[in-house]
Amino acid sequence: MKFTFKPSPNYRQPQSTQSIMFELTLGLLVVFGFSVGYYAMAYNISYALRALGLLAVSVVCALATEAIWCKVLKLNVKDHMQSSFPWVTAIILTLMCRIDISYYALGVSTIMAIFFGKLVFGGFGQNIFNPAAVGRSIIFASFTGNVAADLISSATPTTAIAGNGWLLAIPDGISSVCATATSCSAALIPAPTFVELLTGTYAGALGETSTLLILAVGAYLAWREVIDWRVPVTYLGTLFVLATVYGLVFNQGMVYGLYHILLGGAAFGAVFMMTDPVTNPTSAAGRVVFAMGCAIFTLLIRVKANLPEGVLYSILLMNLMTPAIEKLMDGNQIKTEKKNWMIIAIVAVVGVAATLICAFANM
Amino acid sequence: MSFLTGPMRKHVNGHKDLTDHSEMKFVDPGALVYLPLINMGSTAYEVLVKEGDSVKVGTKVAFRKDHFTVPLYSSVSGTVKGIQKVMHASLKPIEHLVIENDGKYEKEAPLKPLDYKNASKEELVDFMKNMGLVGCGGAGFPAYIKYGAKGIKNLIINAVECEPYLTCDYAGMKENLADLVSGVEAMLKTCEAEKAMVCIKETKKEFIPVLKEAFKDVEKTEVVAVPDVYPMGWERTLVYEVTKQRYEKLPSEVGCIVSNAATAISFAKCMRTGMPIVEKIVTVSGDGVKEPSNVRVPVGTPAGVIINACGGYTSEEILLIAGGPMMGKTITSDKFVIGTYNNALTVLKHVPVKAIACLRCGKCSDHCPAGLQPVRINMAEKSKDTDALKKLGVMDCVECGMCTYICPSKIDVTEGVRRAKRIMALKK
Repeated sequence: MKFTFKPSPNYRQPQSTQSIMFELTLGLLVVFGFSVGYYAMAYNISYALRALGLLAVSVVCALATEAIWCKVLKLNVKDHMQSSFPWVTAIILTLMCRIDISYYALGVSTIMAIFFGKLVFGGFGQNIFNPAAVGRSIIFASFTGNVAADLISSATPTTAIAGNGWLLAIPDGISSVCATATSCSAALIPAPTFVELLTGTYAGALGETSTLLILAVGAYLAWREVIDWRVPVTYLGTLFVLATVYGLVFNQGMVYGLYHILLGGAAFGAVFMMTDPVTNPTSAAGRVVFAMGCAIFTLLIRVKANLPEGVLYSILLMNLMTPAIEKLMDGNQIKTEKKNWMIIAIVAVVGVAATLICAFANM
Repeated sequence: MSFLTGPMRKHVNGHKDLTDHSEMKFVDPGALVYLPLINMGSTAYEVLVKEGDSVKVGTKVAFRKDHFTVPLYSSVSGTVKGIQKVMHASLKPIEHLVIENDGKYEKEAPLKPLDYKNASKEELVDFMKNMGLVGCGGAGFPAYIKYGAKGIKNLIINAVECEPYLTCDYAGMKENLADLVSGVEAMLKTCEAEKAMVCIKETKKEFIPVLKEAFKDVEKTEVVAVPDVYPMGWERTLVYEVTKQRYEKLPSEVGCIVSNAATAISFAKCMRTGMPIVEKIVTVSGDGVKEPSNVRVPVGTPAGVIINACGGYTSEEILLIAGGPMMGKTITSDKFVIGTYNNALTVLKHVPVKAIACLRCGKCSDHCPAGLQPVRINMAEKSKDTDALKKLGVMDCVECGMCTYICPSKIDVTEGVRRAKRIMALKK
């Protein structure tokens, strides 16, 4: 008879990190599947095959990078993969790219994302920046022109509205918007209708278009306790409020705020990237502040910076702030609850003030 | 539950069906019983008998003699064999008074029965002290200290039993319903509270009506159904659930007294018969024991004897836990005994789990019933950062085990918090 000693408790819940990552992978594949279906129907089967090819390239590059890392460090490859989940980064990165990205650009940026975004920090659980966001920013910096020609002739709705300084209609007498924007077109409201933006039946980043599907998958993952529901809810809520404030200054109407949620990577980032537990704060209060910060930076970058999209960099910027938020909000969470609400209120005021300053500066 | 603190609790699979309808049997302790000379970590005991003395069931054999007074009574009749150091359920070797059991169970009630309906508060508190009534929920806090307090508004009777596998309180209540009712009535009188609330899990669907029926004629008393979550039976969680109030150190700060249902039953029994706690109802459960069931055993019965009476072990390699799997400690021998405030033996097959890197998911912080951040405490512990540990309020931890339970990476989070507490204790 052997009586084993183990410190209490000796009871474990069924959910494991592996099961969390498995369900997350399934959720991402649902979004990817929709995209493949859309390209097969709206364009032709070669587009769908290209999407599958892109995913394959990225996943293979990610797995190969980690396998080589294991070989160099003499780690067991199988054990390592089961606790490192490189394919999740690869899928997210692929879903953030447009169908016209070259295989080469995606492959190289995947390798960079895995190596510089994750492994050099010490691997899964240690990285500071969201590895997929690192990969996408590398594409932004180095491969913007590296696209397969003539795949999509028109600009995506996101680049279209960005060309108009993120306004649906430019009010009379405000010309400075056009001065800062890359191109002011006459057709001010983006070509896809509101419903198309919701369902995602238009060309854009592979996985970022169907807001409805992303939110449905997000709701399912939140219910399964795979992601923290506070992050997408706070992020999208804050973004909506700030965008509405901005829109009111430019007389854009109440529906304007919704465009900020529907366009670009807002929903995708909220559900799949900001919820990355490794790179956001561990406390519920910290996550709320993290998500609010992401929303503020998203809006500021969209309306003020020289980039078409703000979600990606907002995540990277807030990843940078994560340790500071953690430290700020450390303590017995019951006793610090009041203080944490104060911090949230301050962040909210700062967010609204920054939005208003940007709005009036853009006038 | 709050937006910024998380749910602070979680439904866990209780496996209560293993034992909740089992027939209760009496287990004879065999030739020797060992009475542990410990109460809440204090071993300051004065022994009143010497080797060779003959004792009966109910003979006062020792008492705790420091700032608390807790008498200890013999649970069998027979001869005192002396004092021996044996491993205790708290994982420390401590002194036990060894009594040779003659198997006759001759009784001598040490106390005069008391009619609580005509007794004063002082008499009732004194009775608690003289009978050695301790919190039967597992902590063993002397009841007379709690009940001496003034200005109590709510008496909360804890019948939640949130530890997985445990059904001893449930079985005890079913068997001693009349004693439970009079025990609660007497406790209500003792603490002079405005009302008593008997709290039981809402999932005990068939038993709640029985309880309600039993208490329907008792004034100022209600049966309250509480959610089936862990750790609903923790004093702080339970007080917050029924009063929405939080306190610093003791529930009496917010006018509450919390007592276990088993404590109320023991109190009533002793007032009726004059016999203190000499017998315990113990749940023996888990996948490591052949016939999980509730048993009645004299205080001081070794765990091994009880397990044998339940069919023995199912596996060669097991975890033997004194208590439930969440807070009970694994003991590496089955020689330890059931004391006055032990109520379960959980036997589990040993299935090693492989921990992987923390993914910082924050589930431990979301579910910590004390509102702490176990993940942050573990990080600070690794770097021995005592300033951070102080800020993180590590000493508020009661080691309920929730953080390890919930951790999807299967890390021993609670153990890291324990190490942190040790660092802080050494620093003082």
